Amino acid sequence: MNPYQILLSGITILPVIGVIILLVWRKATKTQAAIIGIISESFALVIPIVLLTTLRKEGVILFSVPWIPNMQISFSLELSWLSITFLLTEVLATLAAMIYSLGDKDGEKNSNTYYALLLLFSLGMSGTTLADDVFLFYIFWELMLIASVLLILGWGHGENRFRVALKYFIITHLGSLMVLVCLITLYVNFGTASLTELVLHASSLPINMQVFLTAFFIIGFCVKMAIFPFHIWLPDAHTVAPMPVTIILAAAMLSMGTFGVLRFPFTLLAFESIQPFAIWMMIGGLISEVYGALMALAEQEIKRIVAYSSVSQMGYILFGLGTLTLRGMQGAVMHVVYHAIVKALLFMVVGIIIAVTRERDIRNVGGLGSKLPILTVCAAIGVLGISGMPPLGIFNSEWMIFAGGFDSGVSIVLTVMTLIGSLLTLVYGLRFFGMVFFGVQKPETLPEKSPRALLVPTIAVTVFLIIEGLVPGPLLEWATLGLTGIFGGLL
Amino acid sequence: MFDITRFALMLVFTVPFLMVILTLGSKRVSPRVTCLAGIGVVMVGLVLLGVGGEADLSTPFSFMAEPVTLSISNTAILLYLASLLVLAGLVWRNQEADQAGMTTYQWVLLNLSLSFGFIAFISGQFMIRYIALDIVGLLAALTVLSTFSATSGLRHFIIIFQILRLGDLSLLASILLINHLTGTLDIAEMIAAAVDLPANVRMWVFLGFFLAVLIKLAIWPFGIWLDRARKSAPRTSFWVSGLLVPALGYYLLYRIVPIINAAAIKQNLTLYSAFVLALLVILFTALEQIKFDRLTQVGGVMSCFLLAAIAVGSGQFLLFYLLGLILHRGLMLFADELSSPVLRWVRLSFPPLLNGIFLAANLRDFPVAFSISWVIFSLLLVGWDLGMQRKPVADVVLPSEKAGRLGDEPFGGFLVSVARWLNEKLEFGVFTHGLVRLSAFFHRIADWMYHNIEGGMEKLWVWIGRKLVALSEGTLRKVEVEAAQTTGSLLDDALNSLAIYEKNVLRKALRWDLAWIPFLLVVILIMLFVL
Repeated sequence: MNPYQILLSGITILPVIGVIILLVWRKATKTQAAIIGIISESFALVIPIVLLTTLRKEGVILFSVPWIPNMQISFSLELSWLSITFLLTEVLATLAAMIYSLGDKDGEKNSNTYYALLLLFSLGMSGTTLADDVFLFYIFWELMLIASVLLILGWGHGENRFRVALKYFIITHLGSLMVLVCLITLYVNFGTASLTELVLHASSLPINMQVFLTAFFIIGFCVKMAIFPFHIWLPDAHTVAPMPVTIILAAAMLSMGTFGVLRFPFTLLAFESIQPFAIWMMIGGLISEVYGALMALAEQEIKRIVAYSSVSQMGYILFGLGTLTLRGMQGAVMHVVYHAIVKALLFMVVGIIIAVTRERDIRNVGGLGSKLPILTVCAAIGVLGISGMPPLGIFNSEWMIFAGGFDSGVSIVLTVMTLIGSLLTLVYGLRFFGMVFFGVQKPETLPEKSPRALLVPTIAVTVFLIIEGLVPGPLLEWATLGLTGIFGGLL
Repeated sequence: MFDITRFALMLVFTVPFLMVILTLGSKRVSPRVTCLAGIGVVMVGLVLLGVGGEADLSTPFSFMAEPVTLSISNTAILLYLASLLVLAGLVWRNQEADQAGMTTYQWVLLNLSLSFGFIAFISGQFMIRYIALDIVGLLAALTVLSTFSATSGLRHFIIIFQILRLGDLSLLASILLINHLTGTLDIAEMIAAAVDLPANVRMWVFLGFFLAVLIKLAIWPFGIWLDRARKSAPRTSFWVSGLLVPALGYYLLYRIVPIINAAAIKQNLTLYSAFVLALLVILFTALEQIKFDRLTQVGGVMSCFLLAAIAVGSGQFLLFYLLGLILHRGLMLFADELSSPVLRWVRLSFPPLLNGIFLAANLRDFPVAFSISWVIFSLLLVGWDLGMQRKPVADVVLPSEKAGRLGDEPFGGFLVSVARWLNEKLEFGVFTHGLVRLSAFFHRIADWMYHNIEGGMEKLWVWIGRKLVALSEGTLRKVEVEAAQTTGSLLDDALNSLAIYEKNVLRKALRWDLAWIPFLLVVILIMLFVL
């Protein structure tokens, strides 16, 4: 085992040490707990970056130690170009949320447990992207869910947080169970839990079995992606969760569904078993795109508007995946990253609006533009970003997705509808922006400035969004390299 | 070695950004002077580019793995120069009127539009051109915003931006369709290849481009964005909407002429019908005295002439016609402000003069029927423009208030009835109220879906939850509680029986006389084991 492989294990082990410190140090203040959380999480950011050079040389880095040898189950991690893209997105979103939480009022009680759970939440996602063993994958997958449910239960807003947490748990868990059925089927059929080995054999399953597995995998992961009509957990969970958790949910956790689709059915199973679902994925993506946008247009609760926009944006990703073309999938992967940045920004903006106005109903907010100019600029960039305005990032991913739609040869009309449907994003984005920042100032009395601790990370994310949009080359390269293993390199 | 073309390119692209910095950073220098100086330098740069000659240049940049190239053409340079000439005049002339209207923000937008406008003209890669066009559209929409407190500006901004974006998205669809079949984003290669596309794909490509052009040229019924920009933007920064965006539209149209010429007959018919319909409707609406904006409506009609000319086979001297159209728009911008009767007459006589020269130059190529139509429509245009010049400009009048006025119109009778019908049904019914209705309908659908589907899902969720709870309770009652009770009572019975038995057994005295029986059994077992 070389040092790089050991280093890879640090991505999952070092945050655990952070969790232990936080749980032991019960008297830690919120700031102290946050700093421990941020430092622990930073390892998960630094290690993949350090491993980049090795990854470029070797293509993949593996770490594996036996776990339950009798059952052929091992603690195996794999860093590939696909996983590093999702891993860094998730870690960056978590870090941004943790830094933002320093200025946020949530998490002031039991701070150590709060940050420990945030770390576990992130660990669940890191593990999900890195796991090379189906059971390890599932454990991390559920850790992600349990940690987020506990965060909503413990620190969520409102009386109905128990109900919301339960709803979130049950619905996403149903999706997880569908995935579990597939994982067990694969394990039982081949007697191994190693994904590296399953990649070699899974496509030899009878085609009917593969079709069944594809259907279960896709539906299971679509629940996590909050695709219509499986999205019903999302608006409530996003609204009730404390703002840093909302940021992680929207910016990072939703992308895990996309990763799952790429990592399991698209990597393991034969192209022929996925092909029948392509058109349905595209149609589902289109419906989700339009439906989410319409809901965001009708919604009055400020956090839910941004939450519904996630349903819409996930629609683009599903559409891109459904094209089964290289460009469509490149676009989908890039959209995951760009969406994470934009969504983190928009929720940060919403957090500041709520903190400043103490209002959640958009009708009771207005005219903030002249009062909060920096926030206005950040919000404008966020709204333009999510609307796919060039040169901001989402434009790059959207046109790749649309190009994939045309490349798929399925139907020009379907792609044109998706393309024109993207105008709806602009409609709800401008409605949100106009109502909040233009018109008569509401409420009448406001603090002189936006909270600096919240504004600084918001500005940082805004700058990052602009840079990511202007320099899309590296991300495109990563997405391309990450997709080489899809369908056994068919694309 | 000094490369004049690359130097000129740098100059034209970067100077507007320097102007932005200077406008924001320096309070000593007037933004107007900065802008004028910048325009001067940009124009010099354009002339230098022209001197360098037409060329396709590669750059060290790439966008999404596609090389960024520049296509220096005299057509683009001339069109942009003509637009800048008008802007220079506007900035020069409107100094007093604009001091109140042009804020630093407006100057910044204007300067930025110079850079992105230039890129939109000379980019050799379609996606970069699209990006520049999109940004120019955003800048055009932003010019109508002035304060955060005024929501009317915001409404105009939203409408302008959404309509322009719709045009850009349709353009994007066409670009991606060609790219899908050709695998390149190089404009020249794409257009050359688009001619040979399959008929159904070519139809989609054509429709995408056509919609984009209709919107950029603000041809009826897509002119409402320009009308709104006209109402809200200061005159100088209105140049972005009123001249730069249409000029980019003209150039786009000029570039896609081969696609249109290769198009099927139905596409030509689309162009013809657009031409005729737009012309008629604008004339009718003008008769109705709906808010007449010369730049929007006369500009739109002239663009229809251009579409018709291209549809019939473009002919010769198209570039000069485009230049004429840009200058005509510039003339209308000036003439509205200046009260000089000479200028008004120049403005009035410019379109027939331009149309006449263009027709004369193409008389051999144009079919006779088309040439006659061209002349008739040109005369109609003059009559209409003249009529509108004599009439005072009125605000939008509701159809109910208009009945009396229409009776006084010289045309009267059938024409008035048609105009009234069109006005009520089309302009108000569809395009004015229709848009509002559409928007309201959209909101109603969204609301309905929100309350019924989304709320319905909520109800479904609650229903499923309740059923599950009821099922669980039922199961609990049947399986757990009742079973437990049964088991419990059975257990109790058993225990009771056992207790009674024990009591009975214990009550009896031990029979020592029978103690030999177990002893004997043990002995037998041992013997069996041993044997």
